[in-house]
Amino acid sequence: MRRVARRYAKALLKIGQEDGNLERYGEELALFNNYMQAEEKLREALVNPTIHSSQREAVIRELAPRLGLSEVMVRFLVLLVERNRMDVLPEIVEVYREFLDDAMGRVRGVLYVPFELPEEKLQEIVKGLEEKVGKKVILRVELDPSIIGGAVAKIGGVVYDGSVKAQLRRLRENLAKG
Amino acid sequence: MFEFIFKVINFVVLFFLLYKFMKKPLVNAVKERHSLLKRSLEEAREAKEQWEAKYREYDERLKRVEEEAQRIRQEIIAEAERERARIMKEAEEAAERIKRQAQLAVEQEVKAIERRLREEMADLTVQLAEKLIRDSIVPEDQHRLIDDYVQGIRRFH
Repeated sequence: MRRVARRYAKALLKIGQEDGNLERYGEELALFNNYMQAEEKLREALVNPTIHSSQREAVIRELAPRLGLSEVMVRFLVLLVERNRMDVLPEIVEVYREFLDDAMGRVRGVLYVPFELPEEKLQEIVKGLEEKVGKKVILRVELDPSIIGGAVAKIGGVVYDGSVKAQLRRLRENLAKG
Repeated sequence: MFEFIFKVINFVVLFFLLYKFMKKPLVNAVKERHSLLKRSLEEAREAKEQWEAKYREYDERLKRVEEEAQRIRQEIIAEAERERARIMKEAEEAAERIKRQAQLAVEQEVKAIERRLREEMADLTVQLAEKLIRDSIVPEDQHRLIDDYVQGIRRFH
């Protein structure tokens, strides 16, 4: 599934790079996917191969103006319907976002903090991490009181752990080593 | 007188006749007897020499057998000594090995206990430290910790 998703995501990325709508296609993909996942009947209809593709195409074309989808996106979604690949859409959204981030020179990550951070502190952390990884960093902030204090950032498989919990863990290792 | 002369003449004649006719057979008999005795003596001497030769030969063989027996006995003693030394050495080595293994097992057990104790102590210490921090941490500390995190980001590997 992931390989199929990569193929479609790459194709859409190429179009986006050519017409300069990389970000827009990413947003439209995510928007349509969220809508489809929320509307169960719609999702079932679009992934159902027994319903003729022209009927499913008509549904997409009807939804497009309401969701503000571009013509390229409509054609992309119609292609998925025709090839019975609409079930791969969630993966395509994910992979496209990874490709897009890569193309835009940015990375996504999660920041765990024990309390709600003021915006200026969050920006300081983002700035520090951007200097560290050499890319623009987009962080999703999650509250995690178990880290006690400090913060933990996970970006592209790398963990930047500056939590009190990690310090206690190191203390425990040192004490256990003797 | 005449009778005496006659007896003498008779004796002489008898002696002459005896000498004439008995000399050769008597000489032959004596010679034969002599040669028989000589042969017997010769045979006895040869037998004696043969016996002595046999005796010397048996004596030599007996000596050789005794020497061989002595050599074998010494070899057996030496071999037994070597075997005894080997067995003793092996036994000493085995004893040393067992001692070393037992010592190692004890050392490992002691180390395992030490490690377990250290880990338990570390767990308790960290649990206590965590409780103390959680109980005493205030918003100012949290902000300071975030500032420390920002300052320390570039130090991460």
